[in-house]
Amino acid sequence: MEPPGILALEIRGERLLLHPVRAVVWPARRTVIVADTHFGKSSVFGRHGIAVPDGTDAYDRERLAALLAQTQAQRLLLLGDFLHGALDAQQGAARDLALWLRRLRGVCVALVTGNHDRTAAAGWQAPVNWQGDELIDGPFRFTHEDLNDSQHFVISGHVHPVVTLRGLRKHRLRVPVFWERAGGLVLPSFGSFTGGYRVEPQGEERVYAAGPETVVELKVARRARP
Amino acid sequence: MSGARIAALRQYFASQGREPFDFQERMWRAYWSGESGLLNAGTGSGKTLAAWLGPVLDDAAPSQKGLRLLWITPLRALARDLEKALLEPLQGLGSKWRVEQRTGDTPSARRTRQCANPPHALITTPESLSVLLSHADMTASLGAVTSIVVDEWHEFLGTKRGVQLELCLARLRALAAARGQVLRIWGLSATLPDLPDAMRTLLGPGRAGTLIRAPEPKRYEIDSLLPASLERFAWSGHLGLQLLPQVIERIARTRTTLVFTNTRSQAEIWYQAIVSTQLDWLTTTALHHGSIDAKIRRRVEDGLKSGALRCVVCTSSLDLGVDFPPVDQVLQIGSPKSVARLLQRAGRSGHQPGQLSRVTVVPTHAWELVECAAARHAAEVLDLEPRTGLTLALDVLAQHLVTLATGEGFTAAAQLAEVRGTHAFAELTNVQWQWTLDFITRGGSALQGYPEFRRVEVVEGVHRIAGVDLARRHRRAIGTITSDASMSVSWQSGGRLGTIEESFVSRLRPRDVFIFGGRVLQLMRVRDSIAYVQLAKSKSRYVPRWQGSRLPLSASLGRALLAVLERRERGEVSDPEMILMEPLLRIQEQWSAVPTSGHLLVESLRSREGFHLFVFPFAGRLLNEGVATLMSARAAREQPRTFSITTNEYGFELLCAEAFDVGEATLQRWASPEAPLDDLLASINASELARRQFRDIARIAGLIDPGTPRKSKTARQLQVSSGLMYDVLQRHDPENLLLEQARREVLTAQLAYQELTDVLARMATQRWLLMQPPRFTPLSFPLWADRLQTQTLSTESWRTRVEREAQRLERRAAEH
Repeated sequence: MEPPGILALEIRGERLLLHPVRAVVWPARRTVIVADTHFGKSSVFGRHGIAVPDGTDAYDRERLAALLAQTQAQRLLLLGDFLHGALDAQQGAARDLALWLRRLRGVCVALVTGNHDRTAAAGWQAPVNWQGDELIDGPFRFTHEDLNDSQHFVISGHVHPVVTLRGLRKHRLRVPVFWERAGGLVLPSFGSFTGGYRVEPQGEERVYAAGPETVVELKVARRARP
Repeated sequence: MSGARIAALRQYFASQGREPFDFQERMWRAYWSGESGLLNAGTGSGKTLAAWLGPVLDDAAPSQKGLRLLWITPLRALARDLEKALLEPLQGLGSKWRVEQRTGDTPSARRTRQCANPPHALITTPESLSVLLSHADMTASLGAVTSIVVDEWHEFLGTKRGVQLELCLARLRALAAARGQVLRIWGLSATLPDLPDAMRTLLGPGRAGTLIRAPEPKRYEIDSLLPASLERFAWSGHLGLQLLPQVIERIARTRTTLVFTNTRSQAEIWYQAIVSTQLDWLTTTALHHGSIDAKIRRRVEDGLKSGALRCVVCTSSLDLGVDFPPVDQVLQIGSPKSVARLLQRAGRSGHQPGQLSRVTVVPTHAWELVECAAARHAAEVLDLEPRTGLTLALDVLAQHLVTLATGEGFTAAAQLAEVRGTHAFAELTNVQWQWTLDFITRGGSALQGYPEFRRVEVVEGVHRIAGVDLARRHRRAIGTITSDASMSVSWQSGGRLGTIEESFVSRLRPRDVFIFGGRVLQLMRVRDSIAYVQLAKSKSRYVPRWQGSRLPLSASLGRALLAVLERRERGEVSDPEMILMEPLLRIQEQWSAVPTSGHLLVESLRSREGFHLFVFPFAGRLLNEGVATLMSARAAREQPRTFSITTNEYGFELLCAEAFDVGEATLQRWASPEAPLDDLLASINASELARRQFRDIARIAGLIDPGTPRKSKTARQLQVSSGLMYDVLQRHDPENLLLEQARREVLTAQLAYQELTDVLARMATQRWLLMQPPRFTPLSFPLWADRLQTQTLSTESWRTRVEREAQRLERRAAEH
């Protein structure tokens, strides 16, 4: 059994664990998968005169390092938008991230390219294994945003999916979700300084809400449609 | 000296077949003796000439070029009329003054020319004045200004625009002082309960001023259009068209009519309703509101002046100055909201001094009949709503400092003295000042890192903007009026109709039909933030909603309302509205009870939705929300619960999925006036109030990029919601003073802490009528049915809430 709060999925014969920190763990491959970390976002804002406090990057690095340690992962798979924009190699954001990557000894960090990574390529080159647009492993194709694949189950990011739960009156609860669609799973964005895009699950799609401590399946997908 | 000038002015007035009013002469003399002050006078009283001719006669044939006078107006739509009004007397007086306007609408070629060759008098808005201060090459021109007229000061008072204006005035005062000149500042204001306070706020603490009052020129009459009977007259709703036939009859009977509504949506609906039943009125009836394109609005204003229009349906867009001859009748659709505003609108009829001004209220639901009777009683004793200036708005201060840094720059010590010379920042502490400087130079307090932040840099003690791109972005962001992202509405074939909120357009699909600007339109496509439309043949299905600030029922009017009900209780009913209301009040009495000044009504009942508690303090929407937030926070502290809070002008509803104790002791404990401050601060954190308030603060302080008309790659990279920004600051820089400001604004501006404690104290002295009606009553039904304003307050865990809402969805799905 998994520790409390974690939800297990069986996909194409592989067991994937959905973590409340908005990450997927693939135990058989000792891999941790996250999407849309958007590191360096506060620096990009700061350079344009918009004051965002330091700490979001550090907070996200800590969460990620803790998960890697806890799962004893050997590989960290980043599904694109690792960086938010071009960073200055001399500045704090890039230096801190480089230091952190160096400290992840024994963990292979692989990145499939996202749209923000392409913009970021103009600046600091992150020392990670760039995989190009996709990585195929077992029954899975890992990519940033492309979904069409008849052969593989596609695991991706980019969308930052959230679901709005409507309660009494105007009670609205926005929750980041793992969004399971036909032939694919979209991860919630990992970065704590990232917004969300509201999705409305259709038909057989399923969504799993990532809360502070637990992952809960929302049965909203079963909403009857005439 | 001034004797000769007075003689010249009297002669000019005589040539027009008039003579100056006493207050005008007093005003001119005060100006010539170097005084500043406030003139209290209504629209159409001659206040413009009172403020204008003093400065003009001071130097009728200016030998030098250069700016002398700034005329600040709250609405740029008024600038054109003002320009005409100011130009008119110049020729007769043989004056060579050049008058121009500069607002957001002024073409850039003209703006450039104004920099090189400024007029003698410039009509402008606080926002455009700020932009002028952000151009270093304008400093010399602005330094030459010797007098400033702030028109409609009451409109600025108590708003962030007012604070922005106070800061700009302080700057201009300093620039004048640097040239050894004294700036004369005159405010023009409608009647306020505390005029000396309004003057002190304008001039800054410790500065002497002269208060001049024009005699109250008018008598008012307030009546209402009564439905034939209350049967079939709605208990709630704000768009009710029940009285349309009578309104049409009233319009037909008189030559010219203004129909005021409370919202733009309501104006659209009433205009549509009138012209679709009276097809031959199409060319003589028009619509006027703030989202309609300025050119179209101008045509309507011209129509009012020339008398070509018989009827204009409008919103507060015609409350202010726009100068046109008095109309024959004024109708107010729906609640008057505030006594002062109702009188202002009434003033649109019978402009001549001594003439009767009359307004007829058209109720849209039954309870507004009582409001009308209450407004009449409050107007008789002139129980007007107070307005006081805001203080310590650090977001506005931050924006202003960046504006100055974008202009010629500033030094800290001199700037602090200048800022403390305003009413808004007289009490600014050193800590707050240092934090604001840190905010614009480092991003936030020195204890917290703000990576790679650059906005304002300090070079040899002078604060300057850190780059031209930052300067450009800041100028675009100047202004404190914030609104939702809006979109242009344009004809498919070209030509702009106005603006509409993006959130409304995003809910429409192409081919959907909606009404806007008085026309039935079909959405064709949306491109580059423009909604392209064509005339629709089918009937309209949607009416746009604009967020705008909806005015709450004022505390004065709420008190007057309870007083009217109290009089009825004593059997002293004479108002026609109250006689008509009687059957409905009887129903309220049978099912529950009627509240009065001495009795607080509380109703509780259970429905399929859950457990409802209704409380009716009659304190206006915002204060009711304050009481509701406080009570639910205290309730949720005793036991984890989630409340849905719905408020309207009369009371509020707390809705909870599970039943809760509604005994008198429990309720009075939750509503206790003891130590409300700590509990309120806690409840503001638990609720969404501060987060909501932070939206405006974030925009004003520059934490949200205003974006560019065409979204560039940079703009896309800098998109962030104010909610996310709020969360990030909460977590990583909880000491950020803008967060504290959000809480303080909720406390003082939104919940009106001082007034709230008064309401709580009043509730504690009232007798509580705890009723358990069998069904929703005439008073509770509107709250249940309209759900105009709802927010949530929760102390339950994330999991409890998610699971309950998920279950609810499942149940609903199963019912299908």
